[in-house]
Amino acid sequence: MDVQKRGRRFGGINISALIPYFLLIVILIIMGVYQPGVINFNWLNRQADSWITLALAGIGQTLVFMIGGTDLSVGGLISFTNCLAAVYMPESPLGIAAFSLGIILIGAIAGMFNGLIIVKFRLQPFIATLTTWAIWSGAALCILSVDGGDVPKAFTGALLHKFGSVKVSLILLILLGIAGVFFKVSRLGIALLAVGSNEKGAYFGGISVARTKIAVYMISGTLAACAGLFRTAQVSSGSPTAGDAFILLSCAAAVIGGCSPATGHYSFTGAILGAVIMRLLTNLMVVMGVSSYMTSFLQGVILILSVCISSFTVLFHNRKKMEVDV
Amino acid sequence: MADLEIRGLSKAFGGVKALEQVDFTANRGEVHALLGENGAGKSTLIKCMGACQSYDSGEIYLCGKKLEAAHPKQAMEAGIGIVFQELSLIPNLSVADNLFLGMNLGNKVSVTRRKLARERAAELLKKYQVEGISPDSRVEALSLSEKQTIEIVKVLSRDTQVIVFDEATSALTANRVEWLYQLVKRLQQEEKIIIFISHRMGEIRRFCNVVTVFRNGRNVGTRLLNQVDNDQLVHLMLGRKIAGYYPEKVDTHRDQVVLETRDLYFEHYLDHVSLALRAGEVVGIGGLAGQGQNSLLLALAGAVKPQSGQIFIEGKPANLKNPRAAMEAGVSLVPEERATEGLVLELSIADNLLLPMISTITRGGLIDSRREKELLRHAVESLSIKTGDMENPVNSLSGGNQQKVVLAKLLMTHPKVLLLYDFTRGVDVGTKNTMFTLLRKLAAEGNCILFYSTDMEELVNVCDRVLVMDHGAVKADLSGEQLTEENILKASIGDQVA
Amino acid sequence: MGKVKRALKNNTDILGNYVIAVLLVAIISIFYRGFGSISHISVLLSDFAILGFLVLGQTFPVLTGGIDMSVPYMMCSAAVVLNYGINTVGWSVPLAFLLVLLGALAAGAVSGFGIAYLNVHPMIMTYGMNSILMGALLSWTSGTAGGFSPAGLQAFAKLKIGFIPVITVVFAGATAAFMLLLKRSAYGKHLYAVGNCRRAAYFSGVNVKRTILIAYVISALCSALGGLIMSGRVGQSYLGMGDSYMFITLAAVAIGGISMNGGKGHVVGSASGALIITIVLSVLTVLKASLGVQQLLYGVVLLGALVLEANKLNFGKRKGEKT
Repeated sequence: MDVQKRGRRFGGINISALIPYFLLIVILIIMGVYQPGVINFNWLNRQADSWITLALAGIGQTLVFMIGGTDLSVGGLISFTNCLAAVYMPESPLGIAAFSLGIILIGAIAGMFNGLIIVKFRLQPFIATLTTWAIWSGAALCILSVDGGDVPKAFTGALLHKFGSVKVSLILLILLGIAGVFFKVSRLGIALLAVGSNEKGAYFGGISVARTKIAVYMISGTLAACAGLFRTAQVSSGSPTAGDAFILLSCAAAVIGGCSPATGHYSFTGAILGAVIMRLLTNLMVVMGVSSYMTSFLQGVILILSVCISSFTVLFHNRKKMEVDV
Repeated sequence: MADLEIRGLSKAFGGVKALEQVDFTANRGEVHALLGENGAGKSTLIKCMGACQSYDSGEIYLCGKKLEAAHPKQAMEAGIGIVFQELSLIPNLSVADNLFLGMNLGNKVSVTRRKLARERAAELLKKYQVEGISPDSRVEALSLSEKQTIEIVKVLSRDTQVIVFDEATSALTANRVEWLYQLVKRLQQEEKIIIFISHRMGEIRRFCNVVTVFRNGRNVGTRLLNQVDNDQLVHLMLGRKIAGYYPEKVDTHRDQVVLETRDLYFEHYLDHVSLALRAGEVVGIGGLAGQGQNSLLLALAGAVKPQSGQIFIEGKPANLKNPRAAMEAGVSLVPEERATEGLVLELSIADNLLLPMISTITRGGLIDSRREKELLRHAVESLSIKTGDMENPVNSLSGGNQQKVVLAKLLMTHPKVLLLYDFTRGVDVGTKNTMFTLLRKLAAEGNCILFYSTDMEELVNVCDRVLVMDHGAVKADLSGEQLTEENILKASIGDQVA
Repeated sequence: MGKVKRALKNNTDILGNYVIAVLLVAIISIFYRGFGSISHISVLLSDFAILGFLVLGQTFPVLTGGIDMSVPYMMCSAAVVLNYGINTVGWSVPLAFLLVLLGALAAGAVSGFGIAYLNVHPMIMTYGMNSILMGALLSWTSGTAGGFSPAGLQAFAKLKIGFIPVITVVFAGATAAFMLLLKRSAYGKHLYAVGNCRRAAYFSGVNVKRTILIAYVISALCSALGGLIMSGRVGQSYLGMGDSYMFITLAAVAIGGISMNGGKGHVVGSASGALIITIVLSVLTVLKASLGVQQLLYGVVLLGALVLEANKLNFGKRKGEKT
C-alpha cells in the first residue's frame, strides 16, 4: 500500500525564492516613478559599491542560517578589519596585497573560532557569536577609538577600479552570483544542506557534521573580512562601529533573500538581491522624503516582518506533519 | 569462524539493558532473519554494528577481522551497510545527491560533479531496475515507498559485504516488495551476508532461510526456517513468562462513555479512528511500533490537532487545543519521553509534582505552603514514592520512581481519562506491580485508562480490552477470550485473528 | 534550618561572587587612594543599583533560554521620552512616567509576542526591536536628546540614607521581590519549567507561550526603570546612553550563574554579577582603560562563563548516555 500520496510536485516550485525578485521590481518601479530616468548604468555602477559590502555579509549569514545558526560576529569582524586596514595598511603595492590577504585570513580564522566553540562546547550559535562580536568590536575600539585612519590610495584605487566602465564591485557581485551556483552543488554545498535539514541523517550517511559547521562559519568570517576591506576602500577611513549596522542588515538580507533552512532553499543570488533590496529601501526613503531617522525603525520592522513571513512558510511546510508544536 | 560474528555484545541505556551478552553469527549466502517483539534489541544490535551507537562490551568480527569503527562512515567502509528503518535520507536534496552523500566522486569541480552524480545515479537506478524515479527529483517529493527504495539503492551502491534491511519492507508497496525479493536473491547469489528484520512472518518465510529470535535483549535461539513452524517462533518470541506480578483483573466497567472519538483523521498518521471508552475500564492499545498509537494519544491529550474528526468527553464535544485544556477537560497524558516530556529533570521532585496544579494553590500571588505540603504528602503516600528529600532534583530518583512522579503529578489533576504511553518501559518489576495495582484501583474508582504498551504480555494481563492499530487505523478490538498475545501479534502483522 | 543550609550549599558560587566583590574593593583600595572610601562606595552602590535593574530584567529572558538585545534602546528611549515629553511636549510629570512605563510594557509585549507566538528567534526579535525603538525615538525627537530630567527624579536618584543611596535600597527591595516571584509564585515555577524543558512544561499544562511573553515584558520594564534612574542620577538623558549595556548585562548575568540555555540561576545571583561588573568597571575607569578594552573584557568574560558551564554539563553528561 502506498501510504503517501503524490501531491507534492508543486512543492518543487518555491514561492519564497521569488519574493526578492518581486520586491526588487516593486522598489525599482517606485524609484522610477519618483525619479524618472535616474536608474541607468551609471547609477548601477555607483550603487554596486554599497551593495557589495552587504551582499558579502548577507551571503555569509545565509549559509550560517542554512545550518541552523546565526553569526553575530560579522558586525565586530567588519569593524575590526575596517580599523585594521585603515590604520596599519602599508603603502607599497606588494604590502597592500599581502596585508589584504592577511586580513582575509584573519576573517577565516575568526570564523573557524566561532565554529569551533559552537561545535566543541555545544553553545547556542547566537550567544557564541555574540561573545566574539564583543571581542572583535572591542579590538576595533582598541585600534581606533573614533573614526579616522588613513587608507593608501593604491588600495582604494584597486577596489574602486573600473574595468572599462564597469566597477570592480559590480563584477564581483556577478561573480558571486555565479559562484553560488557552483557552491550549491559542491561537496560542501551538499553537506551543508544535509546538515541543515537532517543532522542525524547526515551523520548516518557519513558526513562530518562538525567539519561542515566549522567550514560554514569560516566562510562567513572570510566574507565578513572581505566586506570590511571593501568598506575601508569606499570610505577611505576606519570606524570602530562600522560593522554594527551589518548585523541586522545581513540577517534581513538573508531572510529577504529567501533562504529557508526548513525547505533547503537558498541562493547566493537571493542573498545578493536581499542586500540590494535593503540598500535600495534606504535610498527610497531619502527619495520619498522620509526622515533619515526612520531608517533604523523601518529596518527593524522589515527584519521582523520578513522573519515572521518565513516562519509562516515553515508552518505551511510542516502542516502535513503530525508533530507537537510547543 | 563465521563470516560475521558478534561475541558478548552488551549495551545499556541508563539502567535498562537493551542488549545483554548477545552472541550472533551469520554466514555468506544466507538471508538471516531477526525476529522479536518491539524493544527486544534487534535495532540496537544493528546500530551497534553500524557504529551508529556505542556498545558497552563485546566484539564484532567481519570475515575474521575485528571491527573498530567510531563513525557510521567507517563502519560502511569496513563493509557494513544498513538500510535504516527511520530514513537517513536528506529530504531537501535530490535523489542523485542523496545516493552519493558523503562520497567522493573523484576530484571533480562542482558543476561537472553534479552532472557526474546524475549520470552515476541514473546508472545505479537502472542497474537495480528502479523505474519511475528521476535522479533529479527532490527526495521530499517522493512517496514513502520510493524513499525506502532510494535508501536501499543507496546502501547497495556502497557494495558492502553485509547488508542489513531494518524493516525495509514495511514502507514498500507490493510490487516494490517483489523487486526487493529479486534483489535479495541476487545478493544471496553474490555471496553477501544479508540480515533481514521484519515483523511479517510471511515475508520472513519467503525471503530468509535462517532466523534468530531475540527477547529482552538476548539471543534466544537460531533456527533454520524450514525446520520450525510459526507457533514455535511465536512461542520463542514471547517466551515463558513469570506470572504473578499482575493484579487480578476485575471487571469494573460502567456503561457511561467518558471519552469518544469520531473519525479522527490526519493524513499518514491517523486513519478515521473512532472509539468509545467507558468509565472504569482499562483499554490497551497494541500493534507494531509507529502505527499511529502515539499520534492518537497526542491528539487525545490536546498536543496535536487532527485534520478532521471530533472528540467528545462525557458526551459533550471537547476542544482540546493544548494539554492544559485537555487536563481541564479531564484528560491527562503520561507522555512518551519521560526525560524530555514527562518531567523537568533539573527541577526538584516537589516542583515537578506540583507543576500542573501550582496556579491553583496560590494565595495573594504566592504559593500557599500549607496546601503545598498537604498535596505533596498526599501524592507521595498514594503512590508510595521513595523520595528522600522532596527538594532533590527529580533526576536523582530511579526510573521507576520518576515514572511514579509523572503519574502522581497527573493524578493530582483528577483526570477522568488517563492516557499512558508505554509507561512501564525501563521500570523494574516491583514498581510495575505497584503501577498496575494502581491502574486497577483507579479503574475501580470510575476512571478510564487508555494504555499503550509495546509489551503484549502487559496488555493482555492488565487491560480489559485491547485495540490493535496498524497504519493509523484500529484494526482489531480484542476482549475476553480473544485477548491473547498470539492474537495481538497476529492482528499486528496483518494475520486474521482466530 | 535545613533549607537555609541547602540554599547556601547550592549557591556557593554566588556567595563567592559577593566575597570576591568585597575583596576586590579592599585590595584595590590599597593601591588607589579614594577607592573604597565611604564616598566612593556610595558611588559604587548607586552604579550597582542602576546596572542592577537592567540585569534583573535581562535575567528573565535568559531564564527562558532567550536573550534581550533591546536593553540599550529600551533604557535610552525611556529616559529620553520622559525628558523630551516633559521639557518639549509639555506632559505633566506623572503622565510622562505613566506613558513611559506603558510604552515599555507595550514594546516588551510586542517582543514577547513575536518570540513566543510567532516563533521569531529572540535574538532577531529583540535586536529588531532595538532598531525599531532607536528609529522611533530619533524620528520623534528629531535626534535631540530630551534635555534635563525632572527635578523630582534627580532628587530621588541622588537621595541617600547615610551613605547608602535610596535607589540601592529600592533595588535591593526589587531583588527580594523578584526572588520571591521566582521561587514562591506560580509564574516562577512555570518559568523554570519552561526554561529547563519547554516540552515537559507544555505536557504539564503550563502555558509556555504566555510565560515567555511575560519574561520579555518584565525585562522591558526593568530596562526602562534602569534608564529612568540613570537619567535622574546623571541629571539628563542622552542618545547612546545605553549602548554598551547589552554586553554588560549579559556578562553580569553569566557571571551571576544564570545559564544561557535557560532554567538555571536566580536574581540574587545575577545581582552578584552586576556587583562584580560595577566594581570592575570602576577599576577600569581608575585605570583609564579604553572603551575597547572594556568591550573586549565583556566578550572574554561571557565566553569564559559559557565554556565553564559547557564543561560542567559535559562532565555531567559523560556518565549518562548520549546518542
